[in-house]
Amino acid sequence: MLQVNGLVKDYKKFRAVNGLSFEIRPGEIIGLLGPNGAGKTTALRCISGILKPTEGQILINGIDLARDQSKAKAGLAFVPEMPSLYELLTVDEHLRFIAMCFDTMDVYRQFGDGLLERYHLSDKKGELVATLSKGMRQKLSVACAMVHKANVLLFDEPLIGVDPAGVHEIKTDLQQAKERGCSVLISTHLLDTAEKLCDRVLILAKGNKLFEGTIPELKTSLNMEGADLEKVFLRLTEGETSSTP
Amino acid sequence: MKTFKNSFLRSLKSGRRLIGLIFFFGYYGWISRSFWSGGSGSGKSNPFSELVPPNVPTDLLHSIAFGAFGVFSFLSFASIGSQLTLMFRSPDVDVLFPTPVPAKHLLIFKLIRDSLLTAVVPVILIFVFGSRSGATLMQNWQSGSTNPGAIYGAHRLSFLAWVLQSFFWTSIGYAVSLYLSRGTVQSDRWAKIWNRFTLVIGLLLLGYIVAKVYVQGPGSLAKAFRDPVLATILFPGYCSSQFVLAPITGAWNLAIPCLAFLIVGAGVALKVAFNNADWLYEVTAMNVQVMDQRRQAAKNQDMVSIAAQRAQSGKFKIRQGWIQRLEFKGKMALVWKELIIFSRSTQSMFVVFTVLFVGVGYLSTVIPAVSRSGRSTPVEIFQPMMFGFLAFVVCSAVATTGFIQMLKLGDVQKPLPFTPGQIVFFEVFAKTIPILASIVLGSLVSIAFRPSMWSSGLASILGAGSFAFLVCSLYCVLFLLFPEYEDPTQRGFRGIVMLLGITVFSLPSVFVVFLMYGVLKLPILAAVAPAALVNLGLAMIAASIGGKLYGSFNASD
Repeated sequence: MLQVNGLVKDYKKFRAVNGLSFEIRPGEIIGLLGPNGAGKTTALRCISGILKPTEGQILINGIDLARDQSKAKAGLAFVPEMPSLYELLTVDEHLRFIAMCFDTMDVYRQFGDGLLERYHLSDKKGELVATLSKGMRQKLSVACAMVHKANVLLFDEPLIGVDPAGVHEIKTDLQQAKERGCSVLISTHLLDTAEKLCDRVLILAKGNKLFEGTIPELKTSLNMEGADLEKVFLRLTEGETSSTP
Repeated sequence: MKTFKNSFLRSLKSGRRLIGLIFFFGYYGWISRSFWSGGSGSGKSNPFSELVPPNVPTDLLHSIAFGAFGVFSFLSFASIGSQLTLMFRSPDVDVLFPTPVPAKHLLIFKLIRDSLLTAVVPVILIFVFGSRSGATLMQNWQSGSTNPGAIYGAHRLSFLAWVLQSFFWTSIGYAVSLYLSRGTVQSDRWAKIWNRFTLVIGLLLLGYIVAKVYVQGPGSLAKAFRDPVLATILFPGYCSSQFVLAPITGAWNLAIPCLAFLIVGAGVALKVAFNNADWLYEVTAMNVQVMDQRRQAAKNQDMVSIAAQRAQSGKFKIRQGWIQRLEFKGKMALVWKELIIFSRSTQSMFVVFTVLFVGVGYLSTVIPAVSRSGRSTPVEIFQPMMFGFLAFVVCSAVATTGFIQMLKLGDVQKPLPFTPGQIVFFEVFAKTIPILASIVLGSLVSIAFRPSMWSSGLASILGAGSFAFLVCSLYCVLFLLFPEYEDPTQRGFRGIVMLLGITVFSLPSVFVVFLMYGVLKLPILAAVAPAALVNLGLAMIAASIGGKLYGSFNASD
């Protein structure tokens, strides 16, 4: 499970995330919503260990990320918005590399081929990542996240640039991860996806948490029962848009 | 004309371009002066005059002329097919192509420009023959010649021949490029055939020369340049040499047809290029983006991006070697990944450097030092010193590419289950391994040639290996301090700081070696071993600083 307490991230004088606290229990999917520049990506990058938080505590499976990075990150998988992959490794080598790093070669041997097949990458297995399209890279990025036994999954806009079949597979995998007891945090702009997929939503604006709870709870809090999520979201974030640092 | 005017005006606004412009006009001004006056500084005596032979045989002159023009011919021949893709940049395609300027006019403009630029290539040779000592050489030839003034005639014609030959090859290059770069199935097939043909000719040529020298001895190398087979294969080079030497040999009956061949050949190629000028815009537009990216990657010394671009255009073959089949656990996977990427991006460079290490390893066994007793023994310190220097050069190439990747791929590396310090250490370690392999190979060669020098070989492994690790660690720190690898200012600054850093960080180990080997007269291995420990210690400090910097590094900044 994932626990974030008072997370603050400053870029020089600009505060991108301001005292964010939340918890994701095992078997739960949380949607991270907010307008551009709300601090969603920064929060995810802090939780995944890419950025050093200015203040706050991040616990992954009860292990403090700042105290024991290796152990904390061993239970975590992160899929960035722009797929970040080694261009000169083949698809299969990339998957193996991740499995070797996380010491989960047994998972790779058992499920590696199946993963590639599910994401329609089997015929690209021996090809270099450099030759893949953006959508294929995104699928490989998701497959890499699935090849180790992480129980905290972080996704930054995982469905952007992926074809409908790929979107379906990713959603199915997320549901299966939830059933396995994983804690999943997804940053997304797709409100209908958040509504269908997430158990709870976390809405950020200008680095501050505006709301945390289920979608019916959100609608009730704004007296907008029956309204679609888009209108509710717009009402909540009205005047809260900000430029990205 | 407008393009020419704009290029000229643009040159005045940038220091770098201005230097290029001054060099360009200076060079051709000097050539013209030499052509009409017959060489600079002639008649003045200088300290080299006594070293110059009074009468050089015509045979040797033939060899020199054909050697120079033949090599130029071969290099020009090998680069045919790529001219057109290198001709324009993206702004030309977006701004220049939509204007009503006919493609033929652009072709003429670029052809003249490229011919003149290609002729700049042999500048070193021309400097040799145009310098004061070169002039004295010619004066001495002339004094021993039965035909005074002929040498100066040849000197003048050599400039004309260079320009003419470069025009010849540029015209052919454009004509062939317009066929090979169309991007159609048929043109791709032609391009493939052409590339293989070039490779086969190159290998045959090299094989022929090596075989000839091997069979007839090193003295035959000079004769090889007068060989009828070589003269046939490198016919344009042969024509140029005959034309240039005509004032000395008097063989104008051969020189005039040779000159005609070059002019007619260039004319025919030009006609073919003009007939296909309609393809100019399409071929350029198709390739310009890739070429711009490749230029940028080359500027950044990012070999991975260059290899990735080749893969995207289907020009990259994946070989499954033994490294790919290996299996590691945990942090060693970073090394595995790095070695695979290295084998696909920087391997050719590695081969060249390994040859250098082996060469220096062999050389260190034959360079003698005469001791006070008059005994000739190899210099023990030579090999570790030279290997250290080479290791620095190789690290610069390997580390630049590798650390650019580390900066680019923070999003995939930083969430791995390792601390930033561990990631940096293993990245540095992985980059040192191929260099270490070259060092070991070079040392083994030296030991094989002179087993008594085993301690010097072992000292080279320890000294240069630890130094390579230190240099890679310092590169890592510098890349994290100045991570804007596309910014030319940071790139230049990083280079200066690196030189300063490596000077400061290598001083302790150099001092240890000086003290133990130079002052205390200890054996080389005993002197280098503690210096290697110092290097490793400093490298660990640098790597831990790198780890701290990497922890707070944000690739998105």
